[in-house]
Amino acid sequence: MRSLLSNEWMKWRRTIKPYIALAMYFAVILLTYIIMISGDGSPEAADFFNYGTMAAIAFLGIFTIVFTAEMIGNELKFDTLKHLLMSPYSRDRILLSKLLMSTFVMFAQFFFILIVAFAFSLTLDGSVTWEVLRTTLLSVTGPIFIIFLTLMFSVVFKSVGVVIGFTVLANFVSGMIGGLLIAWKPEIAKWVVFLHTDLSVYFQEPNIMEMMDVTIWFSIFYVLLHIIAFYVITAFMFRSKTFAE
Amino acid sequence: MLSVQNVHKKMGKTTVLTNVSFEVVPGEIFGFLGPNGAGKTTTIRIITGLMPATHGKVTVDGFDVATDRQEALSRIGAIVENPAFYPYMSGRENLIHAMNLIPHLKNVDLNALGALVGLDGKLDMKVKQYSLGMKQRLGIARALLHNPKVLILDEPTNGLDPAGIADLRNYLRHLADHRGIAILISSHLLSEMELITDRFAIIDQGQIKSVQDGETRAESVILCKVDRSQMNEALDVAALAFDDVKIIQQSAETFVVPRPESDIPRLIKQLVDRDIQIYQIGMKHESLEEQFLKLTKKEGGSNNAFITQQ
Repeated sequence: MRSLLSNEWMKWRRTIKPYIALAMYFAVILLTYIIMISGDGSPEAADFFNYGTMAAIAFLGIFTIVFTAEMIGNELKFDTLKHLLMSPYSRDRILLSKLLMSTFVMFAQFFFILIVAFAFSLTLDGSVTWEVLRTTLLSVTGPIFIIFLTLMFSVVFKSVGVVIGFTVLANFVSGMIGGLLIAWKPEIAKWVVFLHTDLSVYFQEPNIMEMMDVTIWFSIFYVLLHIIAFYVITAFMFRSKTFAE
Repeated sequence: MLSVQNVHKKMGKTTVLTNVSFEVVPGEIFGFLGPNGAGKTTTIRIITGLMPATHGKVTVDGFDVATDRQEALSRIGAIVENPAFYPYMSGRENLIHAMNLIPHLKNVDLNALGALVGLDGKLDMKVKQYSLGMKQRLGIARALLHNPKVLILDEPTNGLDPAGIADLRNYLRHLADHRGIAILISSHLLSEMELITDRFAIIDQGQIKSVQDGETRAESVILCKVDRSQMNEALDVAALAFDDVKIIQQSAETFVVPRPESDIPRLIKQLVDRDIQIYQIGMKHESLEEQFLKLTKKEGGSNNAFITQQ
């Protein structure tokens, strides 16, 4: 497994996209910093950390979709998937290596965001509180959910573009419909999984979750259930597809 | 070493392969010939574990590809369809990637391997800068990384220039003779296959039409050229001399007798006795292409598509 992960790491770091992503997170946090310090009054470190990480994590969601879609999509694009599938390693292991690398890559970027935002916050008044940090840490559930969803679409569709399109569409349309349902039919909205993927909502806007009459444990269980279902479907398809032209 | 036994493959309602069977022994170069859509690549995909067979069995060194996947596939090196690489990585990185796909494979001298396939000094170039011929060479290097017992090459001469093809031929011969590797090559280039292979199978419409070795494939006939005014008389003489075979007139002045070389003196004697002017006589060897066309025509095969590929 270690050699499979080493392969995935080599393929990921040899493209330009990771460096663009890191530069983007840095730029977003820097921009937030400039905007906040150029306003009236002196901004609090905790407020800056909250806004800066929130903005960067929005981009993290997008880059997570792209990177995960490319984990399998690029193998199809370059026709290299056949070499992976011809290897003595089982298809289950190959898929697991891609899932683990997608997750690792996402967490690496997430911690990069935290570190950069924290470094900037040191120049401001006050300090990052546990409440703010907790909110930020809980927002990572969104990208985790996105990894499993994107991986499932990657096995279904050949084109990276289609996979990215479907994942983005599923996220935004479901979020939009979910938003409407919260207002009009909250008892139905609670079953839209996309409304549970960001656990930080429980601390930032708890009234939304109260309207749906759900607890954080319900959300965790419901998201976990979906993640497992997505992975079972992905593994089944990855095992049985021939991936022939 | 490689054994394909009664492999049958259905895709939906279409039967793609019917009872495909053949064996490749150590040190042998085995050709796999057939037109597009004949089932060559499907067979190779089944051998390399990319696709399961509906029925039948494929074993490598005694290990079943379906049930002993790891043991079987770690003994195979292959290029399937075309050599595919990560274009943004160097040749060396692509080889390291391939090494990581083989459990417990370490300490491969990549420079030596690169030199062996004619890529010395070029392994650190990005693959997107490689020509098709260089990619073929890199593909062969990748297939040989782990000293496989079976080497499978699907159209390996694609993109190679004549010198490259000759190099590859010599190299494959060396691998078969000195390392005892069993080599399976599929190709459209019949003349090349004739030079490289020890034995070959012809597949058409999912069925093996024939498996032949070096002895039987050199099917030969006596070709005789006589004065055109005496052609009819010459045909009668030949028919009388060899009443068990069909004499075939090829042109106004040539005919062939499907008999071995040892019958040439007898034919000459009969023709000379009747004062027939002989301009030329000798053995004509049937080319692989002629055999292929004969075999596939016989049973309404798809050789027309094949001819257009040449």
